[in-house]
Amino acid sequence: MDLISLWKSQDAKLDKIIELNQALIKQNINNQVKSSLASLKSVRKLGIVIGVLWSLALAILLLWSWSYSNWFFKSSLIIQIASYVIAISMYIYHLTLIYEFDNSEVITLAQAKLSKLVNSNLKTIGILWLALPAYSMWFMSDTWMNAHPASFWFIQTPLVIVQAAIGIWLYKNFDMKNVEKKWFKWFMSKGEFAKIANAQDLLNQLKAIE
Amino acid sequence: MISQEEFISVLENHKGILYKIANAYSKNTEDRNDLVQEMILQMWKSFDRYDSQYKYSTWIYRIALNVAISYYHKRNKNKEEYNLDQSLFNISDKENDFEKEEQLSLLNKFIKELKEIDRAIILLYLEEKNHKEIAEIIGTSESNVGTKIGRIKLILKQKFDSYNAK
Repeated sequence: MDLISLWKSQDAKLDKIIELNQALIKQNINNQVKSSLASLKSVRKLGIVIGVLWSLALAILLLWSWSYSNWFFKSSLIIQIASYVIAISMYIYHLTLIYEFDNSEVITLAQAKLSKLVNSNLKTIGILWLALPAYSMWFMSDTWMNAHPASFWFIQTPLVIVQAAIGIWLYKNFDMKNVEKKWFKWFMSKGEFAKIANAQDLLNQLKAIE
Repeated sequence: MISQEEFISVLENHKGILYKIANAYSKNTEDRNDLVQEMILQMWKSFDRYDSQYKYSTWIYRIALNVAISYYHKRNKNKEEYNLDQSLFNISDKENDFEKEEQLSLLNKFIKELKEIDRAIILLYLEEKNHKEIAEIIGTSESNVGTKIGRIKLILKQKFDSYNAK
């Protein structure tokens, strides 16, 4: 079977049946109808604004309480601020990737960049998980350690250690290479998971034609 | 600054490409309309950066395929921005007869079943782009293109054979 002839057989008909709706095209480009990349931009912009405000609030709290707060509280806030600052930097990096993204680039290059964006987004989530123990540390104190050593050493401390281990593990494993793992699917929403799985699948296809 | 009229005239001359790519990467008419809208919008945004060393068709293929492949991952994220009764392509009722042509309809169906990059390569091959042009659009070597086309044609032949054997 000659596939090209078969394919070409639709051309004459297509020319006849398709008519561009010029008025609607003009309306769309004049109104700058939102492109799907726009939603990626707005999510990151919002993330940066909220992240900066929250980090600033934590930094002010840290400085304001510096002279009388204990080292558990200080460490907790410093870890949280550090993780937010890294996440904000990554979101800024994502924004530059999105702004520089050029759809007229060759397919392999453009699609590899988009897949890199998805992977980098996963790493950002991983970094935020790394700060998990900090959320259970801020209320710990020497007073608690001395007054109730059992609950401090046998409940609270192991809890923080377990959270730190979970955070480190998630940071290391939040990667597209684990996309087929059950735990990964469990962690991601259906829509988000489909997007990551597709990006990984696409990267595999790109590798195959390199 | 390029005028809207010039842009629309380029689109007019290449509307068949847009339709065929959008059709290959969408599941239904609504999806296809969304995808065409996104393709046209991205083309308009990139029109100022059009590099005249490439043919318009190469530029259009790159943008349309890039948008189609990326859009594939975002389907349903960005719903209709325009009236459902209207679409950027007005397609006459003859489309129904057209889709009834069995062999062509099967070819379209089998193309949709291919992986995204394979779909892009076979669409370019069917549009009679030579290996050099396909390599320029996809971003791989001419020899890879040749190997890939051979494999994809074999897959399509097997699909036709297994359909005819039923």
